[in-house]
Amino acid sequence: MLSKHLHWRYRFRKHLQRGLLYFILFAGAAIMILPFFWMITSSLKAADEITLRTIQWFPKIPQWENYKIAWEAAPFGTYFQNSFTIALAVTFIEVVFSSLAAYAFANFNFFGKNFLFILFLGTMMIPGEVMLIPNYITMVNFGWVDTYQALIIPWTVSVFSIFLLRQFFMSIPRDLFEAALLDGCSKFRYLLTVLLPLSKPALVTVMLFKFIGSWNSFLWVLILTNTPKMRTIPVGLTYFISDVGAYYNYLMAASTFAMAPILVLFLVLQKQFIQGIAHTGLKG
Amino acid sequence: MNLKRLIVLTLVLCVVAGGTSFAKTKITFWHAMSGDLGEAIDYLTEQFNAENPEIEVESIYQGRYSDLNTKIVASVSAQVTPTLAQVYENWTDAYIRNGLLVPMEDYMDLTEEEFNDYTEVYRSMNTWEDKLYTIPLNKSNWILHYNTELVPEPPRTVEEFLQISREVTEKTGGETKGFGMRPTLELFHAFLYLNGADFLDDDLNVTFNGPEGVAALKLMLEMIEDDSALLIDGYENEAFGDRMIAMYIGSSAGMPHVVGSVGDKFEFRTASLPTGVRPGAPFMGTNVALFKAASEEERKAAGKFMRFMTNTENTVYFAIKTGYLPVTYSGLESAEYQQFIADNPHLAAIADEEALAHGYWQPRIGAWEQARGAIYEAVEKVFLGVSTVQEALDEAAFEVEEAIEEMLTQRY
Amino acid sequence: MLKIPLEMKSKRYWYETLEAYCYLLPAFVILGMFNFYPVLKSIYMSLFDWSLLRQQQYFIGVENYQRILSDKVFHQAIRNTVSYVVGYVPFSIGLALIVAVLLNSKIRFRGTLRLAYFLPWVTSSVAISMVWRWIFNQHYGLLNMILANLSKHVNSFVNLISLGNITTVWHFNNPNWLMDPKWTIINLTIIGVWKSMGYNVVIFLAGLQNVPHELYEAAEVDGASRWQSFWKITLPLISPTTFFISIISIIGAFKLFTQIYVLYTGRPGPLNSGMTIVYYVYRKAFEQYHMGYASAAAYVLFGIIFIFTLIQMAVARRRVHYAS
Repeated sequence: MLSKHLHWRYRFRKHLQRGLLYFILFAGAAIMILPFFWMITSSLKAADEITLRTIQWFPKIPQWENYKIAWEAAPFGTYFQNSFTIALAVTFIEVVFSSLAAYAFANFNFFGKNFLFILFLGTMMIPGEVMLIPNYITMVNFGWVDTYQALIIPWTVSVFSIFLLRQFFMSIPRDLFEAALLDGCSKFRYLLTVLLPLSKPALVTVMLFKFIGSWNSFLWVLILTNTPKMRTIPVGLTYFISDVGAYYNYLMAASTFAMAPILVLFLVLQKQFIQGIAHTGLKG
Repeated sequence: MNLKRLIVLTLVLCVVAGGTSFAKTKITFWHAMSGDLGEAIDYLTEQFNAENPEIEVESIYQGRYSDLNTKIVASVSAQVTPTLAQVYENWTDAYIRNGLLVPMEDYMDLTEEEFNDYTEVYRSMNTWEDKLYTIPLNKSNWILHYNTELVPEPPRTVEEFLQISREVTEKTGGETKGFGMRPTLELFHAFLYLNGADFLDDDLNVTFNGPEGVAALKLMLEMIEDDSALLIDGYENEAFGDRMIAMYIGSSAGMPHVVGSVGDKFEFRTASLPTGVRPGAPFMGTNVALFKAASEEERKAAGKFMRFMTNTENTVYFAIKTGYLPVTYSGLESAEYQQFIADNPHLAAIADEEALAHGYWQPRIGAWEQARGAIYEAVEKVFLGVSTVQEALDEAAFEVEEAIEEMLTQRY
Repeated sequence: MLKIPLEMKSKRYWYETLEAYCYLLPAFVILGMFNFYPVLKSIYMSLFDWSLLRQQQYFIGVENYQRILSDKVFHQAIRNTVSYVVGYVPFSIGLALIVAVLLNSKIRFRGTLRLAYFLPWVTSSVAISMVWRWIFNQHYGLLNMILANLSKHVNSFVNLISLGNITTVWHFNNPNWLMDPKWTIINLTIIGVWKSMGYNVVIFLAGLQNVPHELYEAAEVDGASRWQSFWKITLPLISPTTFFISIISIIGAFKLFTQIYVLYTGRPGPLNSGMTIVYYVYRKAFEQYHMGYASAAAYVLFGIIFIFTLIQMAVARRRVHYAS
């Protein structure tokens, strides 16, 4: 029968497509992982096996004590504690402030809306380098040097998050908003009970971004603190590089344990990215 | 957490109440030393604090040098400078020009003997307006590192150096090149000085674009062209450790990294730079500066601290622990340090007293950071073949003159 | 945008304005303190010969701006920055979109793959730039080793099929990626795309969750191919996300600095080939202490980005579809 033949060809094409898809995705993933892979294997090498003409992918004998040495090179225990405290605080405060602001931009008509939005966006266009000194002076005047609030408060609003959430709030049908208001739902309740739950992927994304940003921030922490007990992980990573050389293996080891918590966080959260409006049965 | 705080608070209160009746003089020392260096500083600080109950020194790591610089600059703007900070000479010059420092010498009560005990090179590097403005702390020199399997005896002259480089490449069939070269300002400076010239003369006139400078760059270029040197990116010790090169010139401060990359693959030694028309030993590293904002009492405490840090015993402790040089003659000649060098023959060149006699250094001017960029670019241009040696150097000379002019007029 | 006529600005409108301001208040206060204020302060500084080491500053009007616009290094910085933006932005967005769409389809190993694409973004930039320095190293770098092998195989393959008539089609000349200025922007683009991939994929994935499955099902019933559904359904429906990513990417790309600083160990690349506008700002401010001058340069950058953003917004007005 003709259709049987067609069916076979159809399936063949489908398999070919699938194969190609997997090939592209895995090849891409391999390229993505490679530098990272090198980082991990280097973290286990002895100092004399790292940069060689003939590539040595794996250490001859894994030097597990590199991790111990790296961990002890700086007060990483304290640094982890601080990084967690600061990143969590920043993330939670930020998601609240940003949701509120994004809601205003997405669902309200108000005087100066476009102007304010562009003003907000404009702050992203100024390099942080020129704001560093004025902000430092502000902090000194507040007497906030060496305090958690100096490391938290200035980062509790990000235009990035406001903008991202605004985009998501705007793609949720406005009919829903109007219907809810007609039903006597207050605007604040609408945000809390409808908009935010529907925007879970965006909220999770925003939080993850903020967390990572805070986790990796360096210069501000360094400038605003004067004691090891207030400092965070990236400061510890500078211990391994100097103008005259680098302790590659220790640096790689330290970087590996520094990023571990974020990986865990990602693995925990990743289901959240893919749950959203598509699963609520809401029609566009 | 709360309990911990409570305990700390109680302890602090106990100390304050039961301990001293007079207020402690608190001073801060900002530095960029991590690892062994940081540990050595912390240890010495603790010792000092224990010996001097009336003073409390806080030594604080402030990131790498570029971060430390940013931090100091920010603190100047906010008028919250530390008492002491580790500084390069060109920073010092810029700070002095802006009236931010006071001479450390005034607060150290040095006897003539003590004053003269600071190695002459370092004294010259730290003198402004006829005063020891800053105190040398971690000084290093540039030395020749060589693989003894391929280079049994280090070259004494530039001719020997060129010959050995060629021979190594020939002998190994190019597998190992004689010399490892990064097109850096420091290497250019080394050859420039050996040729009898320098970047600037005493009146800040540019002198590096004369025939000596041209010859220096040409010599570097020829070594690449005739294959006796390998052009490398990355740290030299990596290529050295993998036998890609048999010799290189680099900072003694990088010694732990060299030891790491070489491992037990081969033996290496160090020597002073070969002699050209004159001998020369480049010195680098940082010093400690005292900020004007400090009160009279704090300045005195800072002076005491620096005396302590550089006394014979402690400069030797610091040198042995970190690989930097003792900053005094007495430290250098001490039995302990001499024993240390004897036990570590690969360090021989860093303690070469003869080298101290003809030490030189990069210009100590505030505009140096800017000038450096221009000279660096000239070296790169030559190596990339985008302009002739003379053209590249003349162009850089013009830019350096401009930068110096700007600095001298305090306006730009 | 609909302009609201004056008479319609009723009580209700002003009430809504007040409400909106309440929602904006926390963000406004924080931004005000830590963004608007320093911005105003640095605009003020840009009119001075403002040295970071001096207490006394001298007013010089727009002289800083005049000098910047006639500085050839600044021109080079603009050229470098723009070529990075032009190279980086389309690649970064295009590849991320493809990967996100593929990762959003029902495939196996989805979690693992997602993690793989996400990794680069979380690695510490200091450590990873050391790894890139190794990859790009002329003598012992991975890239040249792979290329050398590849060229060998290509040549022998061509040799084979041409029956020995052609011996070499690919002269591998061991490029010096980090010391040859012509590669600088390309290196930075590669690293930039690599690093931003996870970031953009995650945002796209979040955006793709807003596309209802029913639409695809309906399209399939109507006999649309996957390609058609992609163009007709996916792309329009995620246009708010794409708009967002393109604005953010362009702003981010214009501010390129840290990657250069770490990849080229504190120098702006060979022959200033990696001198970007922000690098220029950094150098003037923190290496030469001319904060006024640096601020002025920052505002020139601001002007450039602002114009780009306005153009994007104008385009977006026609192209971006929010939910109706």
